Amino acid sequence: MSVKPIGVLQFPGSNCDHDVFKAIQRVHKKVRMLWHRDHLQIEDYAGFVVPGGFSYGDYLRSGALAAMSPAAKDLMEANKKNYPILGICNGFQVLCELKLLPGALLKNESLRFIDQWVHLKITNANKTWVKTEKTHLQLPIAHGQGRYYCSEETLKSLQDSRQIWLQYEENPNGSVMNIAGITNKDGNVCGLMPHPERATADWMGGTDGLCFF
Amino acid sequence: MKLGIKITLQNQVLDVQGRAVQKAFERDGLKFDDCRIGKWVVIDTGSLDKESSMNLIKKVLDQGLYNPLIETYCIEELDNK
Repeated sequence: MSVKPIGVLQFPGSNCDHDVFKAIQRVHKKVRMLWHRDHLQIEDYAGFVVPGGFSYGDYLRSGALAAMSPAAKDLMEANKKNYPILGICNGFQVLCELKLLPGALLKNESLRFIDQWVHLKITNANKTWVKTEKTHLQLPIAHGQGRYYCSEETLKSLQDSRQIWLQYEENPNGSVMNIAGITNKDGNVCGLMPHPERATADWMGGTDGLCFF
Repeated sequence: MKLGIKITLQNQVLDVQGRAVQKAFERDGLKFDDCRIGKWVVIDTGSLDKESSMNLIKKVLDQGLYNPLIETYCIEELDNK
């Protein structure tokens, strides 16, 4: 049986789409770009990745306008069918705006755009997207609005349901509980601020991102 | 009809922009207790009456103009002469 491709959603302002495309190509082999205005033929894909960037120039709120596109709305249907969906950086913001993941991403506490490598702890392993036995990873971050925020009630629910996926060892942006990535309750939808696609070769500075694809 | 929608972060959400502005003015000796920064959206509903306009705006808000997890809003009727 042939392996189905992973679909990478493209919005005006996406700028990590080709990086993600190549990272998937290197590991999974089959990958296809999906334009935001088109509806998704969900059954034709093995899963979906919403890449990083500044979709719609971050107008209104990061990810808010992208979340209103036909392709993004179809992710709701894909989730109902339990398809794997990964949001990276701006993609994480889009998934939160779609309410596929709880909470929101706010401006960094320092107000600065942060571009650096970070040490991460895998708090709760998620085998849907990360195939590794490692407990710690090193990945780059590059964001101005990565401060994860949620209500105390939501935070308790995230803890109780083991949805806190990745945590920064040193908090770079003021995120609640050092959160760098979360999953939904079923574990098929995952979002993270770090960029695994930028850590897929030695010349990039590390290869810890390979296990995401 | 023209309506203005003021969208701000909820009080319990740290507004880092507001804090930065407050501190910058403080350095110039202009002190105040708090500063919150928000968005001002003006929507023209054309010939719709007030009730229909408000209904439309509330739908727009519910469908994503504001994020109820972090933001709050108030609607103002603007000079419609």
